[in-house]
Amino acid sequence: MAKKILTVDDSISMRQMVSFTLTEAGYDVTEAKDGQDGLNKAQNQYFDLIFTDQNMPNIDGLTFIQMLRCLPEHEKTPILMLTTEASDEMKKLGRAAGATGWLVKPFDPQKLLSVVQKVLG
Amino acid sequence: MPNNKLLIALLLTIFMISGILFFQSSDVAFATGQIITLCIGALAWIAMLMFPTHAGSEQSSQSAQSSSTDTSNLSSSMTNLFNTMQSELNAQIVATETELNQVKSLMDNAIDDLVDSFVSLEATTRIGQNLIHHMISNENNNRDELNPFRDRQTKSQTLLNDTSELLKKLIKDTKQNKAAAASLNDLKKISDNASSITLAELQTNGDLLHKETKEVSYKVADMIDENKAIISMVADEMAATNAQVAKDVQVAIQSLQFQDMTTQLITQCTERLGVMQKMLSTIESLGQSASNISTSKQPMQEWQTKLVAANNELKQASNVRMKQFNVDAGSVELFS
Repeated sequence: MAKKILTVDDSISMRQMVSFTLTEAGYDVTEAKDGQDGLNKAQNQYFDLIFTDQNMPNIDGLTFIQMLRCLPEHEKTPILMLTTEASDEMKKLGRAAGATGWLVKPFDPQKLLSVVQKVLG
Repeated sequence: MPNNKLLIALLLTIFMISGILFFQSSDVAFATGQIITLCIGALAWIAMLMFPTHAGSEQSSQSAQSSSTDTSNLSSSMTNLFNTMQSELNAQIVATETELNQVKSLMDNAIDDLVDSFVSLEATTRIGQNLIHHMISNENNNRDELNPFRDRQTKSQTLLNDTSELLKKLIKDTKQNKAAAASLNDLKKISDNASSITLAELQTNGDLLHKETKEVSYKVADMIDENKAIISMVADEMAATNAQVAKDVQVAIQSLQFQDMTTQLITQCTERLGVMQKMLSTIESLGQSASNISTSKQPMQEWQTKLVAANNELKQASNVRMKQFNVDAGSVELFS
């Protein structure tokens, strides 16, 4: 059965690119347009892995991670930040919030798949 | 200070009353005593009146001096504030310029990559189409990339022609052999001697047929090998084409992310311009009330408060969130 991945990003083109790359590799991908949408979807279904952007309307990436970590079903779910933010300060905040890793945009499809495989074991 | 005045006034009043009573009870002429007392009293009152006037002017002078110092401090503080604002505005303009350059660079880079990717995809698709077209049309194509395939195909065609000729001959010889076998049955009935001659001929024909059949089978085997080689070549070509297409698609995926990055940069630029516009409006409104500044320090304090608030807003907009100038892949970091 295909692994389920949630991708949260306010940019349609980014969601499409992530979704295309992962779907081509055989993953079952669900898209969410911002942190609030992502939270709603994550509360209703199980995901093996979650990708999230940082700068989004309604709920930003770090707050989204913090809120997800409060849900028992997503306490251990791998969450990868996929953002243009590249400062060490932001990475520290991400780590403190409970992120599993930090990917700086733009992503290389091969590298993305390699990270997904590594994280999903 | 007011307590001192009261005391002096009280003492003077006591002194005047005492003086009047003294002159009334003494032998000195009343008019003279009255005049002396009134003079002393008047002098004392003048002195008292002089005292508060002097103290008041001192206070007024001190107040003016203090006000002047405050105004000077405010003025200096305002100058510093204006300098900071100027420097912040310059920084914002430089940041906006940098971000617009980033947008341009990202757009150029992405569009170059997308054009390359598109041209490569088109070329790869054309090679695949040519290959398929050549396979089905058999037309002579001198393109270099098709030479190995064309050579194999020519060889396969020659083998096919040879096999066809051999099969025709085999069919002809088989027919002859069948005819000979039929006439043998007829001859058997007439003469045993004749039969032995025909059997020898038939033997020779059989050997020939066997040889020809073997040749055909070899040719067919060669033809099968050639076809296998052609299929393998086509498969290799298709695999190479698919790999190139996959590579081009990956470049396109990476390049198409420019939209997200440029949107963020444009949002940042818009925020900066909004804050700068707000600050300029503040400066404009303060400029309209500039005539009040010389008469009171209150407007200056209001100016300062408004400008500090605008300056803080300007500083907050200074965060540089994105540093990417091209669509090369970003870093990957997994936290342990």
